[in-house]
Amino acid sequence: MEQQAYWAIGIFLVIYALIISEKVHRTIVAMLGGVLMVGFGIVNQETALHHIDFNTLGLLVGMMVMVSITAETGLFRYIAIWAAKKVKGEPVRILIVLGLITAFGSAFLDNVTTVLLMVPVTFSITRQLKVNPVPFLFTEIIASNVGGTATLIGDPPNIMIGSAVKELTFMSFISNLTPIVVIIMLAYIPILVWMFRKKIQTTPELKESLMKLDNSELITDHKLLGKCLVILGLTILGFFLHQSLHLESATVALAGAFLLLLLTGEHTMEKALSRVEWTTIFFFVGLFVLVSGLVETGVIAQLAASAIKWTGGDPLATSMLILWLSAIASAFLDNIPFVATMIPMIQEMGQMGVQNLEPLWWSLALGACLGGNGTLIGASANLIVAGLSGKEGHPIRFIDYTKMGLPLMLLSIVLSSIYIYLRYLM
Amino acid sequence: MINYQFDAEVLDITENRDGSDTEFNIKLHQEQPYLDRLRLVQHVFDDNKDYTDVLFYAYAGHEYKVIVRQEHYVDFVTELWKARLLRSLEWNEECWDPR
Repeated sequence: MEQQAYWAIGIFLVIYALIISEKVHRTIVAMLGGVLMVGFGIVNQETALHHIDFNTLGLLVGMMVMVSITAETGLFRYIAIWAAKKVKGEPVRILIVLGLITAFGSAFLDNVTTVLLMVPVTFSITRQLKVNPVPFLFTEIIASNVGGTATLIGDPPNIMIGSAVKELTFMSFISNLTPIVVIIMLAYIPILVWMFRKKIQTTPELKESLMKLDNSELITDHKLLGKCLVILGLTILGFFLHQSLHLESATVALAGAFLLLLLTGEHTMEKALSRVEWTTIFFFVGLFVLVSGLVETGVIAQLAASAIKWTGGDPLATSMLILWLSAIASAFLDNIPFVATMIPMIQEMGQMGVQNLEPLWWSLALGACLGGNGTLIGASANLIVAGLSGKEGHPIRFIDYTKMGLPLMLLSIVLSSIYIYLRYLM
Repeated sequence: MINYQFDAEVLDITENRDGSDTEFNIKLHQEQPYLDRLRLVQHVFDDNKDYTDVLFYAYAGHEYKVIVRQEHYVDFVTELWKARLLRSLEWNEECWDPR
């Protein structure tokens, strides 16, 4: 390897360690890492910009704008309360339906956005029933990471994989990942019920009080809701058809976002754009440039060659290595930088003669998304829910979370291993 | 803690202490403009980043249950007063300390 490759590895490792240490905000660290790659001449500015995946960024921005406007209508609160009433205010059933709503929401929205929409209504329902909110919040964390795995737009790793591999369309994510996601959710539900059933008991009077709630009061702006539903519907239709329309997913999401802003007027724009998580967007920008240093200096190619040598290029061994390594790494590290590093490595494996990359991509998606359930620091949604819960007087401790989350994560990876083997490698 | 007065022709307010919370039951006798004013109060607490400070539950016939955490009691009644749903507010004897 050339001298520049050693510089690139050094910068990458220092930045990665700083991201893990959480001493400085990860966005600042990643952006500084990107600047160092350019500053040290490892990549020039033009090459660095070429490595920034604007499809990933556009998709995230577009979805964040649409969700922030839709949240103003009270729709998500309405759905949660409606579902709680449908199950007659029974806490165990509410635990299941809130988990399913979170999983479904996370499949089409960013996980963090979904849990931010679900947490307030969860507090509202559990306070009404006078039950501990933690079992519900834990279920939502788990469901958000599982649900987010189901589609191209559900979780940042999938957005990044879908963006990097043009053949993997919105529909191929659904047809390949949704079946295993459904299996995992079906396996989780009885376990979660068994774990929490005794901790979430309430009285018939409190259930009755919840049943009498007037849902109609929850929708605050019917006109705006109509516009949001039309645009969200068209956007999701656009995702299904994006390949036939020869459009990137970011074009679909941005078209939806700005059409909605056109319909809702300028006064909505300022608020909606201010609610875009710009820190996340710049985190991605920094990471793309950081990883570009490893790609351009041939480090990624070397890593791919080593992995192929280690597994002998055997599809089963390589898939399992990627699946389990991604899951374990994602349980303790941020899955976004991990996936940003793994994508060029898998692409390199293709160039080195590995014929069928499909099981490798799905292994990466499953490992990186589901691995986030392993510990409290495994995914942003976990930390956000735990932070909000702690702030409201119900702390979720790292060790308590891990005792419940890690076995569930391992179960999902065992199920995924069987699925990958049976569907692609048998 | 606080004594307040309201127009009984417009609304009724009752409150019960429940552990560290206070539960208000508010019944509006006249819909407008009081319903919009109450929604304005709800908006203040829904829009902040504290999810359990004040929780609103709507029932049929413009009846509302509001669960208020004890440390937000004063904030809540003050917002009701600011929205002109209360006529007056005053500290009761045990809380009044002019120093």
